[in-house]
Amino acid sequence: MDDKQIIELYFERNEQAIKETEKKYGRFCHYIAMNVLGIQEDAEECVNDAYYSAWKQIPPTVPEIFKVYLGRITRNLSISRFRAMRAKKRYSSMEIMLSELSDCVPSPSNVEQTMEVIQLSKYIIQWLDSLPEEDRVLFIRRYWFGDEVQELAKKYGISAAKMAQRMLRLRKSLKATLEKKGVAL
Amino acid sequence: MKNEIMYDGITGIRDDLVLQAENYQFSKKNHDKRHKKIWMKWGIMAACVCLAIGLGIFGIGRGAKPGDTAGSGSGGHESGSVFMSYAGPVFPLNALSDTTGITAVRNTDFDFASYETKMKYYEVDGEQTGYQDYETESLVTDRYFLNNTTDEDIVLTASYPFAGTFSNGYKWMPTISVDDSIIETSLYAGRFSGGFYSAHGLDTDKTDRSNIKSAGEWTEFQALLEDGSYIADAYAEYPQLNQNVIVYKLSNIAYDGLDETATNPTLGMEFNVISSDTRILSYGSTGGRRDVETGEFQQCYHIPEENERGYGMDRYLIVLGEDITVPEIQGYRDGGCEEGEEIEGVTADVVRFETTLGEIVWKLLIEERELSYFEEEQIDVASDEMLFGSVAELMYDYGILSDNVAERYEWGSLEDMWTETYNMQRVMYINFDVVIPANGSVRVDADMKKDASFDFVGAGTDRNGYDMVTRLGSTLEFSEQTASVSNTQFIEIIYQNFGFDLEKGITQVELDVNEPHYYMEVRKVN
Repeated sequence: MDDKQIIELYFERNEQAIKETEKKYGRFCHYIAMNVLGIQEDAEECVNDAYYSAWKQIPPTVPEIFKVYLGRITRNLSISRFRAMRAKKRYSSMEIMLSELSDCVPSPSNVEQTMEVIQLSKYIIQWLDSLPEEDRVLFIRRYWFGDEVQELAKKYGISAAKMAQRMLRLRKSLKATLEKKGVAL
Repeated sequence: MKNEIMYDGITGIRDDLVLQAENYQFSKKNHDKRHKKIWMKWGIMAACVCLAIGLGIFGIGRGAKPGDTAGSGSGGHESGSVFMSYAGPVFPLNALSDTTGITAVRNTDFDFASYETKMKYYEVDGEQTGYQDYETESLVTDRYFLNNTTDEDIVLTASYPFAGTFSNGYKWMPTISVDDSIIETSLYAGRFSGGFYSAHGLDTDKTDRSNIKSAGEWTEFQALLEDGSYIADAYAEYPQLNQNVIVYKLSNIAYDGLDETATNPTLGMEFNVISSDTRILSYGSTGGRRDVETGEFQQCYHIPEENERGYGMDRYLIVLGEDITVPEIQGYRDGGCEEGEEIEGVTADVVRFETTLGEIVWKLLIEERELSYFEEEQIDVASDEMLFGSVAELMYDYGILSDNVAERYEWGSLEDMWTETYNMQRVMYINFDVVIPANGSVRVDADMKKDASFDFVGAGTDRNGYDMVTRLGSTLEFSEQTASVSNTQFIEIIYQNFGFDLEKGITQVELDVNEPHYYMEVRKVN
């Protein structure tokens, strides 16, 4: 079933929409949730919540690219779960990813603009667009899909240590770009 | 936290960038290098085989099998076909009783009929509509002819292993038939078949056991099963939970709703642990804090609204060892249960009683399971006793009853014990007796749906892996093993070491019983 048909089911309020979403994108959403949470049952709950969230949002929302839309919901729900449960649970995958992302956080400067997340996304997109294709893909695979460094290294054919180094360089580059723009978080 | 804002910022990047990253094929240079390595590995192996044949080390026909050609495989799970989700191999039948005078002939058939594209229908506003779809599971028939070369009937106690979880066992558990009649069997479950790794990742010298690592390739099953201790353990009695415990039961948990700033009203239960040997288990808790040095503990329980899951449910704190100080109840605005966030109006009845660990675990996880968190769970393959025993096993192996508690379980959440037990990959064994007549034979079939090994994302999501082991964990003497594929018109084989050649019509091949592992990757033909 193509995405358009699935979205039509949502608009018709036909619960088959959820089943078709699960069938087509269940693995994908689960992969993202597992990558960031690392706990099977929590990932499953997160994905189920993502379906429910899609059900609530469509209509009126019409996702441009349904797969990415679902992935984004899954990411948002994953970090919400992380925030709510951090006192109790160790979401180590998320903790590692966030710890790495600390490297991208710009240092305070005199000319600062505190911004909404939407604006931050725009700056990140500008930075991503300026990167060589492979670097761009590696960054997104690591920090959007949550692929582990070892996994990326295997796919790319280099050692995990080299991949980690490359990631560090990318994070520093993003940080420098944001600092140049006077971004403060 | 600023890094969390960064995470949110990355979440919001353009759709096309995400799609590009998902579908990206890493540079030709790197890919060629990787495949070259794989080819070289097999090239060397093929060369060795040729040399060995020349020296007459291998038996007649060993070199004639198509599977020995260098181009037919990718190197398998050891060197190339590693999947993000590994379903585990098809295992051979095993014997638990004496096998003197018995020989076995095996054929394993992988049927790909489920790959056929079919129309699936559903109803919209009373009208039928449909779409095209296919499945990626293989229907496997693992067939054995058991031959009795003696002059007396032999009753063989057999055991058929399969990899699965309690949660998915209902789907993948084989059915056993003898001479076409499905027979009654009994199920035994092994322990968790995977391991753990550090919260800091796989490539670290940190030794904490915070993350679950399921078996990712067949060699991990090999390490688990080859010395026989795993199966022996699967048939052993479960450990007992007869320790005396003190239980604090919280019921009638309520919040008067007067404080509008309470976004997530939470009950905090605060107490002191006097002895460092005391261990704490919780049930229904949503968070907590522990200061091991001072002994100050706090356990937090979210207060659900009416119609929310868990509303009206009792919560528990279970003390193993010396009793704690009298618990105090405090309400908080949210699940953080932090100082300065206290609210009034949170109440609960607390009752203290003594029992055994086994009784309270049985009550909460088995008897009352359907009333609480697990109402939608589907449990078909495992009995209550098996689930209970497996929870006990996990508690002793890695949980609070272990001398070396894994960091993953140090919070002592009973629900975690349950969900882990339920979802952990393990090898399970189907037991049955079969009579093999004197100087005769019987046919035993294990029929199952075999889930594909697969990748969640990336360029290889269309490839599905299936594999089998020839002798691992079996005491049977195999005089012959073959493998076959059926309904192959719906698939193409990308990598393999079986030796099938669909173009030439070679769909059945003889296997070398000394080759421990055979694998193939297939793709749907459009």
